[in-house]
Amino acid sequence: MKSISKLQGLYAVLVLLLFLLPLFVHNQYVIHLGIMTFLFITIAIGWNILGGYTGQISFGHASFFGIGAYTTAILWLRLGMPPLLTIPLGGLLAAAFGVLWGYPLLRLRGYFFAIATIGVGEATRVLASFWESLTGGSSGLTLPVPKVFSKVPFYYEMLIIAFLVFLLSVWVYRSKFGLGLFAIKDDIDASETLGINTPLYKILALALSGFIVGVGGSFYAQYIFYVEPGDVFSFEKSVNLILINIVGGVGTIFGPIFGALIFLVLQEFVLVLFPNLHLLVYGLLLVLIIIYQPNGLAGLIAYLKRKMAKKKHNRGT
Amino acid sequence: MAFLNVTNCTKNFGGLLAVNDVTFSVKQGELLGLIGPNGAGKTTMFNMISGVYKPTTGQIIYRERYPIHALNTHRICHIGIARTYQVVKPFLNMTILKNVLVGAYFGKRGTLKKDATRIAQEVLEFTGLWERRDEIAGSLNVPSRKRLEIARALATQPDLLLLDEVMAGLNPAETQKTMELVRQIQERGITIIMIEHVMQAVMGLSERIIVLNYGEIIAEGTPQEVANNPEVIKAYLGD
Amino acid sequence: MSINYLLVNAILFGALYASIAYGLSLIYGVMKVVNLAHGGTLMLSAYVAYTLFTQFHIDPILSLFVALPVFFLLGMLIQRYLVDKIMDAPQIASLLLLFGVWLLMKNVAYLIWSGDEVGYNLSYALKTVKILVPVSIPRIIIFVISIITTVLLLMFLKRTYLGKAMRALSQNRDACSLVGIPVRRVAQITFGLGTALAALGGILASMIYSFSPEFGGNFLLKSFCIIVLGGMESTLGVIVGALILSLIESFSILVIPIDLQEMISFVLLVLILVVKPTGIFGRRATI
Repeated sequence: MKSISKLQGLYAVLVLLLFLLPLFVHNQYVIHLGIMTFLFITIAIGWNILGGYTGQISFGHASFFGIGAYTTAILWLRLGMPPLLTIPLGGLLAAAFGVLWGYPLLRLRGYFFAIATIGVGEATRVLASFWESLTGGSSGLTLPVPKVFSKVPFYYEMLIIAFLVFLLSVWVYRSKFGLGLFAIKDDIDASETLGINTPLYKILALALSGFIVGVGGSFYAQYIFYVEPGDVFSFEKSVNLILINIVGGVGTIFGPIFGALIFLVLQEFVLVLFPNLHLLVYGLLLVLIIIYQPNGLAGLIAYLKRKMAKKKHNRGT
Repeated sequence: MAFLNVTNCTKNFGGLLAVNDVTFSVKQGELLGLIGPNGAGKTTMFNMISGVYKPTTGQIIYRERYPIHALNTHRICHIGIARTYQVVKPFLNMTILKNVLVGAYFGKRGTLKKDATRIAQEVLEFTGLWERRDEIAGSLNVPSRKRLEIARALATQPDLLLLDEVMAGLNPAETQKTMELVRQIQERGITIIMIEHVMQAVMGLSERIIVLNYGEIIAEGTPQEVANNPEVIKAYLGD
Repeated sequence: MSINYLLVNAILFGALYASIAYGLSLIYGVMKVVNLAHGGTLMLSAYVAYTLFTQFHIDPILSLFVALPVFFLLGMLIQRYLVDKIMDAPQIASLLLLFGVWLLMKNVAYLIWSGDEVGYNLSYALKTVKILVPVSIPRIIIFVISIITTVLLLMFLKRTYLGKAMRALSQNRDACSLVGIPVRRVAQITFGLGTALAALGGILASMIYSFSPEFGGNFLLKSFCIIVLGGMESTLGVIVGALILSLIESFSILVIPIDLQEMISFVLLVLILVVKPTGIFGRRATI
């Protein structure tokens, strides 16, 4: 009989509780928080696959989010497509967009890629604002809000998406593909001479990353019922993704989850009290974490675990 | 069959001729030494054979059918050529086992998990690193890293192995161990080209030696012949 | 929209862009660090000039003498207490760190000056001089100061010990400590100088632009574009890059809509990075 570790059992219970939550809690605000948490977790995982696993930090991931959002908005509004169906399409279009600019730009090393992605994000935003006939310009597109509207279906929708994306990230982490990505992150020249097709792997990582974030954007559009370039393509969103992963732990499985939780707590509880200070808090977090704990919360936990294991080992001998 | 054929190979870096019209061939199963003063073009030659650089002119044909000079680096690894780097490049954040697993998985196309694990274990035992497989590469000292570098390259199951100064910086005992390892690698039928400055090693191991100076071949022959060649002596000691 | 106008426009803007880009180029060239806080410095220095002018009636040119040393010090502090701590970390760490500093700077600006867009008008702002076409006085002053800065910078890098030390550091860091160059000290001074140059650019820009705490991002992107165009480690390259960018921007008005102007620097940046990463003079971006 295959034994399930205590930890895995705990996770299963946690997930079950999350699924059961709306049956006990009817506060729409709490449900909304849940939805936003799952959304952040999803897109943070998406960023992490490119930035954390492959080591290509992107400042332009909002472009994927926005493309997902606009794909849903346009297909729903103009073609009457059922919104649920637009979600995978939003992801695919975002992935395709990623391959388009990724092909030339992924050749860039280290932070030249990062700088170029600043431009990608901004250029996409400018283009979206400009192309009024397609996107409705800077005033955006408004989607039809149903008369009776419960958040609960959205809760389940996003929870399932987040869960699936999480499982996907675990699969990638443990797979040959993931091993290749981490090797590329560590030393790209050695990776090539060991047989890894690095250009292909980088583009696949970018496409997967874009797909996941695009799916998030698609969902966002149907939940908020309004898309505008200044929101879905904003540089701030790109920065948030980076922040979430840095705080949580770049390149780890749980990093995006920890980061998303911390970020949400910050946003909804701390910064509500000090609305003028949110850039300060983010900036300070970034600076302090990079200097003192660059592996984020997940890194700290791993470090503590190792220390505990050593202590046990020492006491044993 | 000439296992590897380098014909009129030249590498020009914007005016700097690192390798100039070099021609040589390698027999299957032999251990070829590649020596020469610093800057002679030896590592550049390796870079061309492993696909990191493309030759400016000239050809490199492997097994009489693969035009190395026109292939991608990772493809060159798949067809059986592996290399170590002079300044070793371990995956610092991975364990020894994971490092070698990368080679085992990606060295050939379509390798399954169970095969890769088996190959990795086999290579680690062969190079004496199996007990230390869970140590993080970043925590290893240089001699261990060099050994890891060799193990990782072996995990790609090469038929041709390019060793770039694997003896550099080792004490006499370590040098002996590594020389023994290289012998054993050759005994398995792997063809080896060795860049070395440690004369004891290259003279003791090679069947044949090529000497480069300023990007050109100045001598070729058995270790005896090369050691007594006045051109070679002049190149190393100056006039 | 005569050719003369577009040309003069391009040259004037080119000079301004170059002044703004020098700081970034210096820090990258010498320390291989991309200073994202450059955007924040541009913005803060603009606000400083604004405050000095509106509260104390100090002309922005005079305020340079006060502001530049202060920003020089700020740069040195940032290097000493922040950047230095992660010298051994991968390059991306400094990028993120300095980005965090930029966020801090933005928030400081929001707290002190609020988020409204501000600007100030110099008494001589509307007076013009005819150089092929009418050019406003502030723009002439900006041009002159840009030229002076360029000359001083070139002389500094070529003639002084410190300048030569910086150039040495940009070429081979390890060799420098072997030769007795105090690498850390030079790094600190470089950061200070780079920040001071950014402040210079920001103050000049404040004379003709209005700004908010979000100011600087655009110019940062243009600066990247410029140093990539002109080569990462060459002052002359910055000038050439700045001119090329401003010429393209100026003449592009004839063919593309104004709203898309922002994309020019980005598209150019990407094109160069992909097609010829060495730029016109310097080293590679794809090491």
